[in-house]
Amino acid sequence: MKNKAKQEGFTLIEQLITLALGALLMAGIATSVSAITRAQNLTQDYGNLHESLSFITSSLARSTRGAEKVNATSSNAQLSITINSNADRETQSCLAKKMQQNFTETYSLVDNNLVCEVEYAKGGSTVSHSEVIAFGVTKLNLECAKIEIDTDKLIEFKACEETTLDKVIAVRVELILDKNEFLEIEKDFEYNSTFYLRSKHGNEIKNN
Amino acid sequence: MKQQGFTLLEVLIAGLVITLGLVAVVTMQVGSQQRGFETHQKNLAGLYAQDLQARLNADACYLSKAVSELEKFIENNPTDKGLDAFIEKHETEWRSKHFKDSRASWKTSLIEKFELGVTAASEKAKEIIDDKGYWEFELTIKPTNAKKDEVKQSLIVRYEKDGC
Repeated sequence: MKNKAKQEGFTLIEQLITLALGALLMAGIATSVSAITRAQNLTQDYGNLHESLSFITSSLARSTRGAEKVNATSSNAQLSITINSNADRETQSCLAKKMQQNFTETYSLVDNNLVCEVEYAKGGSTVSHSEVIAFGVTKLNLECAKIEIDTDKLIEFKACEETTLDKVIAVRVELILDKNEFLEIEKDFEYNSTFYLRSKHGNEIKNN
Repeated sequence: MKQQGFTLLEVLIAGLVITLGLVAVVTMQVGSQQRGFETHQKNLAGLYAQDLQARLNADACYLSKAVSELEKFIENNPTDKGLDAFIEKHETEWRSKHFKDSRASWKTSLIEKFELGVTAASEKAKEIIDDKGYWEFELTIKPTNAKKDEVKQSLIVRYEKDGC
């Protein structure tokens, strides 16, 4: 008969060491998982932010490039751009629709969203459609610069006023993007960009 | 009796291997986060460059006669450089609009690009720009965290002789 008293298994010391090591490992894993999640969220924030910014910028750049007439007022933060378009030379509106006739695009803030409204004449009445360009825009500020012909002065950006509109050569748009249901960013982001009205400039030079 | 199970040494080695693996995963994540941040900075740099381009374009009236202005400036006052002052003004204004807070330490440089260098301004520059029909500026943006990468952009402003 074998000796029943002979015991097998781990000693207390071994158990303790294994437990300590296991705990350390667990702690390490938990920390890295949370760090990885945070990093991924942050990277996604950057992506979202950039997507919003580049869409706003390209949208405004496309509109201002073909601008025939600009109507901007700093006081109520509205930028209206009249664009020539016809059946032979169709121009795309900010709603990504090719237009057969002249139209006006108006950028403004509605309920903290940057909205573009397209207006055009159809059968004697005015049709208008609008769409959100960017969500969570808490501030929109406009500045205009007018062309300075026959002076040595450099251009200056000032609040857009009725008196300067005929000679506006560039518009500066300032906006603040804030956290919203579609854009998860930790801090609000201030952004501004200048848009140059190429077609207007050409006309000014030719008419001069 | 012959014992079964792991020895302490085996457990330690296994732990070490697992820890090494974990460290590698975390390092990779940190690296990817850094790349992500750098990409974000470069994206912003691109948008900012676009803004500077529009700013320069808007002053095309000044640039359209700046070559002769430059000659005059250099003749009259060798220390006062007309075009340099123009560039400095634009760069300073542009910086003050974009490089606040966390981006304050970004490095930027804006230079005009004549093939013969700035010193050959006046006559040569006039020839080059008249011939090409555009001004060329080179903008370099270097975000703080970017290790070696910087964003380099050529900014082209259409030149119309006596345009304004």
